[in-house]
Amino acid sequence: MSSSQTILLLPAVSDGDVAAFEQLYDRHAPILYALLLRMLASPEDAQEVLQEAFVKAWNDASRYDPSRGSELAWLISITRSRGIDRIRSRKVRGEREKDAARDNSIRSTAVDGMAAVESVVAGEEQRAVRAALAEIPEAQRQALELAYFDGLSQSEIAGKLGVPLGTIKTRMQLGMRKMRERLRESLDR
Amino acid sequence: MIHETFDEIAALEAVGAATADESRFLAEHLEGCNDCAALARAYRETAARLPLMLDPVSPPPGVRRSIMDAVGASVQPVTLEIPYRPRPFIDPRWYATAALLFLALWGWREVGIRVEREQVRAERAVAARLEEERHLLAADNRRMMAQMQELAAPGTRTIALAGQKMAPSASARIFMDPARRRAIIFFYDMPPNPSNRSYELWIIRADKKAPEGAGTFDVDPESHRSSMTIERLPVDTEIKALAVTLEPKGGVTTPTSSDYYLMGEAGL
Ligand SMILES: [Zn+2]
Repeated sequence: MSSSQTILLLPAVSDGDVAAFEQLYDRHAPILYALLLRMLASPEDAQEVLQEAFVKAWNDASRYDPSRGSELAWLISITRSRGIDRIRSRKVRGEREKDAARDNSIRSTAVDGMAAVESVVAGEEQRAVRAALAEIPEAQRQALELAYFDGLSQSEIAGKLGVPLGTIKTRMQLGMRKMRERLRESLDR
Repeated sequence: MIHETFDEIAALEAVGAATADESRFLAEHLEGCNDCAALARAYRETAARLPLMLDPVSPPPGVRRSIMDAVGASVQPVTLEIPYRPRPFIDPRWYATAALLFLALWGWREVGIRVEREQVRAERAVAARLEEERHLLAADNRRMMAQMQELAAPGTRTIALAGQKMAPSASARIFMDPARRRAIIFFYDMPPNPSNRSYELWIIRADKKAPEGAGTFDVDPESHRSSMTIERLPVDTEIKALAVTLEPKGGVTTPTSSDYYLMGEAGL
């Protein structure tokens, strides 16, 4: 991700700089929280996992390598993997059914104007991502979202959508390819 | 073209949808193919941007506060002195296996008791009750399976508590699941507690001076063993050490003496 406009915070965080960590939180927490709400469909769980993710970021800040992506990408990867852990442990406890009921109300969470202003960096990228996604056929986008946000395996997605496994794989590949091409054009250049 | 196959797997892998076999297959290929490696990286970067489709939502202010408390605390000096060194390292997988077996047997015993109870009630012809009980039993089994699965999970940490001067040969083993913030603890070779006293487990937190009571337990006079579970552990970075003292029956809010029976560092 393009991080050129932004001063890196994680090197300071790895030196124990609490102020830098607060800035990191203020800059990125809203998108990470949105990610967890989308994944977990429960504000309580999302808040708990967000806390876990930031504590992990604090502890692992020295492992961040700017050549491998932006700070936000690094935080997203930590947050998503914690979210997936939570989804898996819930699956074990058979709580997924309950989520289905909560799903819709959470997904329609209102846009938080302040948060949108706060993540200025995300602004340009966000527009590009949305534009790219808008060009992807709904079926491809749906398969990608079920994998990325809901942590479903390819066979679970095929089962859920009642579509052959090969079709699902192709849909995801085509969707990702299109996204990659569009984003390269609009962001990485 | 062979690389086409890896294009597909790399795309699936980026969104977490590749199977274990596919991932392994891909990883092997990427070691020798720079083109596919670059492609896989590009797919991962693309996937990492998917959350940007969402509208940002500010978390409640309390979340920020508790995160800052958690990490602010970890840089503060810790006042408690821990005068012991851990025992020789024993492969934690062995303990995990032992814990699984223990839980399996434990669950089995509970099932046995419940089945007996059900039979008595059936004799009294309380059919509706029986049905309800069966649901509870199934729920218990699910809970037990979930606990076992969590114990066997890769993220589970084990912490050893060593016997202190009050009980030098005692020991304990804690299996901690930081993700779910719960733990199960097994105590061995503990002196049985008098009937008017309880053992109490203390969590010594990095961010608080006073130890925090985590629950009480009684030691079986014959086996000299015990076990307990903890829900809602503090986040793992806050746990500095754990200790056990003997306290008035039912436990107290702060330890009444520094005569420790067991102690161990969380060793983060
Ligand atoms: Zn290749």
